Amino acid sequence: MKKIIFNPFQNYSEKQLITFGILAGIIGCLLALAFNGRFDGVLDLHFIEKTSIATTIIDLTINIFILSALLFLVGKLVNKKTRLIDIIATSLIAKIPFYFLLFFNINNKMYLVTEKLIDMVSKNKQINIENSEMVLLVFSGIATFTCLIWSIILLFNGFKTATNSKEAKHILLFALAIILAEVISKIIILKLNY
Amino acid sequence: MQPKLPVQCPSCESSLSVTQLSCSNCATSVSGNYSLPLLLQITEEEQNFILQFFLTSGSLKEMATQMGNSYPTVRNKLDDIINKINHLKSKQ
Repeated sequence: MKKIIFNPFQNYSEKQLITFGILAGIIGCLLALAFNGRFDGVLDLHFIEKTSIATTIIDLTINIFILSALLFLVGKLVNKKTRLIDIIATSLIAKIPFYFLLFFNINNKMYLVTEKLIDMVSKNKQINIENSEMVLLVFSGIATFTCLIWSIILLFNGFKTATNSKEAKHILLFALAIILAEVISKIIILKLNY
Repeated sequence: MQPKLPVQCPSCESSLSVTQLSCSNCATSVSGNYSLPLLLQITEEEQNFILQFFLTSGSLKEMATQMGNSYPTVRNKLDDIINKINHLKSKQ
């Protein structure tokens, strides 16, 4: 079970992983549409007032494309035998933890609480939120952190399996690729403004 | 149970060599100092991996299916064994 959750790349074929990753992506897009989520960065999820199916699909496509491109580039530097298909499978599977977080915005609750908080902070008002809102913020914070770590573990294990990397400098290159992918995807999504 | 051929010294972990061979039919024994062939210097698991690679005509995809592993996992294992054999070869 632990292997399936954190390192499915060791045992499952690329076809199984990509099929599962695409199916999960479709469900993720539908959930994002239902709960107004935006994947506006490789490691990002924000809630907005209203989203569209086109926005969620384009967001996810940009994320997968940028992440796969940079990890593949680094993967080729680490090991010439690295295959693009294994890296794409890694990017698709590593996105799954973020889909669970979308449930925090049922009835746009999370969006409304964060908007309320931003409003209070920007107007220098005293922060005054209800207990239920506080519980939601705490739980979503813990869940976000957990899912982010889970996603990075999946990315790392997938990258490690695809490239057979063993050295410390490979971990550094992997980390740089993730940070760069986050920055580039964020810029592209902001610039395109679809 | 088939006893395992020890390839490493249990005391200092250096590679072991063959110093005596004997005929089970007439009990003739030959003494000397022979180093183990390369393929015997790797672990039994690695030897089985190479045997399976040979039996599947070198198809890593078929091996991956048989072993219940992904293709890159099997390829990584093969690469690690190649590196190990190259290392052993350079030591000889």
